[in-house]
Amino acid sequence: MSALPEKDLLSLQEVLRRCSPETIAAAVQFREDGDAAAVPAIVFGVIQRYQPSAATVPLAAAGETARLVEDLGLDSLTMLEIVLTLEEVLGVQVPNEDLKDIRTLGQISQLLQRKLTDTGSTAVSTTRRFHREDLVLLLPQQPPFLFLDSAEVDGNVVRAHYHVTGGEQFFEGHFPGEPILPASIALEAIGQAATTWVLVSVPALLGHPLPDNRVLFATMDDARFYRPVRPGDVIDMELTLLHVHVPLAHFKGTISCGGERVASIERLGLIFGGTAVIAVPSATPVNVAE
Amino acid sequence: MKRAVVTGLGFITSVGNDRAAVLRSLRECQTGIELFPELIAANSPVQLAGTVKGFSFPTPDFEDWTMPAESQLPREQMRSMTPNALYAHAAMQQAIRAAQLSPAHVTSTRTSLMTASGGSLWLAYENLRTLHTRGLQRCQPLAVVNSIPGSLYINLAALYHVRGGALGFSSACASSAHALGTACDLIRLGRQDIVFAVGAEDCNACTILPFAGIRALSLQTDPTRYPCAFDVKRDGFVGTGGATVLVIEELDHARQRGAPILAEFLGWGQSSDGYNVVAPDPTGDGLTRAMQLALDDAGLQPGDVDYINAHATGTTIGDISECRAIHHVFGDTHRPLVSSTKSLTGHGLSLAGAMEAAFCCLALQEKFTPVSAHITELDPQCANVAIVTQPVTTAPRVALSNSSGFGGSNVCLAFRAWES
Repeated sequence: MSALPEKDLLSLQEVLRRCSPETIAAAVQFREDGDAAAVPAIVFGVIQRYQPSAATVPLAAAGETARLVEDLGLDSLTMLEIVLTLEEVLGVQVPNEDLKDIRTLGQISQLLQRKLTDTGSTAVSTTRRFHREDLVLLLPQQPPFLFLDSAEVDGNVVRAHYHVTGGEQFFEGHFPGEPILPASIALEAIGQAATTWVLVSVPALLGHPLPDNRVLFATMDDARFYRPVRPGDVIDMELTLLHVHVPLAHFKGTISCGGERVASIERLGLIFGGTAVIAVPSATPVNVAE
Repeated sequence: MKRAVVTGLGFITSVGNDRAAVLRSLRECQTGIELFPELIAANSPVQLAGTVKGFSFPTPDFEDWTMPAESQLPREQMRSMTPNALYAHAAMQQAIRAAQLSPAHVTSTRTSLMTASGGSLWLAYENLRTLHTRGLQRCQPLAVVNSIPGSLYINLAALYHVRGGALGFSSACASSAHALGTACDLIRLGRQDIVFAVGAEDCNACTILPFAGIRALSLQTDPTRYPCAFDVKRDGFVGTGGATVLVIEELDHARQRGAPILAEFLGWGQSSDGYNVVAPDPTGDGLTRAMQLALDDAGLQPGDVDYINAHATGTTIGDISECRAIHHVFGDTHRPLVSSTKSLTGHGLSLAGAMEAAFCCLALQEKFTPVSAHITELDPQCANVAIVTQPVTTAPRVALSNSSGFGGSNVCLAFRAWES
């Protein structure tokens, strides 16, 4: 540990000019001893300096799971300003690719701590991430019937997220004056997340591409619903693969919202790969492989 | 053809930040020019400027800027701003209020925005310096937006949700006159109901001092005597910045909503000297043709014109060639009164055309003739036209506003007093 040179201190103070004294102190400490433990305080202080006053959640009340856009009111340009400042203070580079997947306050600190501890490590994450524009190209479902904003496929797990805007047309009737996301749409959304896994992972398992991107529901067992989803909510879906028996894939999944359980499905089966036809007779898929 | 009228004005100028203050300065011949600390601090031989009051831009960081409380904006709207766009925002607020426009009028698909600014050379310089000395990663995300000349229309179109045409004009000191001429055409051809014509310019060393390179700037230090267009002692122009907004509206549209009508915008003419990159054609041929075209377009005879707001920046060659052009068009029998309001305001570059057109509208509506200030000894070469060296009681009914830019680009705009 060594005291920060006067010149570096001045430039740090200039970069963090409108941040709290605690933030500057944390940045100085980080520069002096390189301890990544100071990172959350610096991140907090820099976001606080840029957070618009109109934000729904004040930063002081925001936890690790606070969402940057919906809760803290940060737009993409503000995110860039925050990242530019953090890069300069911490001496790290955050490529745009990493930035695209940051959604919560906690993820920023985690990303930066990973950058800082990961000195030159070439470990490559196996997670594949898809944004809405990627999903439009991948999935057969298209707007206005695409209920995913992003998805990550990580081994046998797929996670996906959807921001329920309230602009979806079905809210006019479900229900007039009291919009609630239909449970069938929630199941459709998690089905689309599972479809994403199938279209991304099955070709690798088979060693050849699928003949088409048609994937349909085959089974759904023991689905339970715990709380309603309303406009403004972001639903987080997570599915774990149970097994693949061509042309079927089975998953177990949950839907949550802000950490609260929305729904769970013990078994969700999809049929894929050319055998999936639009007029699937109700009972046939089970015969195909199992 | 439809008729265009002026239904609102907004001013952030060296001679006042609202209509009443501007009117008082013009009537009472009060200068907006003073010793400019920023130029003095830069050790510049040029020390006078038509300063804009009520705003300050001490650093390139917009969070250090100050402005009148009613024009303050949240940081997400400030971060793309330039000084000139911020002046224009304040002038837009006034013009919208004066014209009694509702938000629905402003955001109508039949409302356009025609702007003129040279961009913020200051922020361009600061941003490029950051790029070159500290690297691309240290540049502000919106550095490109707050540097380029287009930043004026970009900021205003987004801020006011303009949905008709939105663009910027670049013809140096004729820019906002071109914006106004185009606005006039859009209205008269029935393509739009309302057009905001905006001229705006930063007021700082980066925008003003480059003109010292061609020795166009006055080196005097006494704002009670300089600048002095048409006077033998003139030695160049004094720079200024700020913004002016004119609401140009189709006559029936204005009548139907009971809008206040200040003046009729009769028509305009434009020409190019085809002569030199900076110097005007000394014969005044280009400006002569622009004035003649404006008279034709407006359906006027030379004898109808009562007042000409001359371009007259205070350079010898500019004054003389303009006087020759005016003499050529109007002769000796009917001599319209001529003045340079730049002797009070300074030369606003891209802002000048809009600012002076708005002054003409004030003169027509308030029935006064602006004086050409600071003339103690009229240049004999300017004696061929009727320069207003002392206050007169004449109320003009028809006024022309001349503008000339680098490259010999000339514009003449024609207005008539509105008598309902």
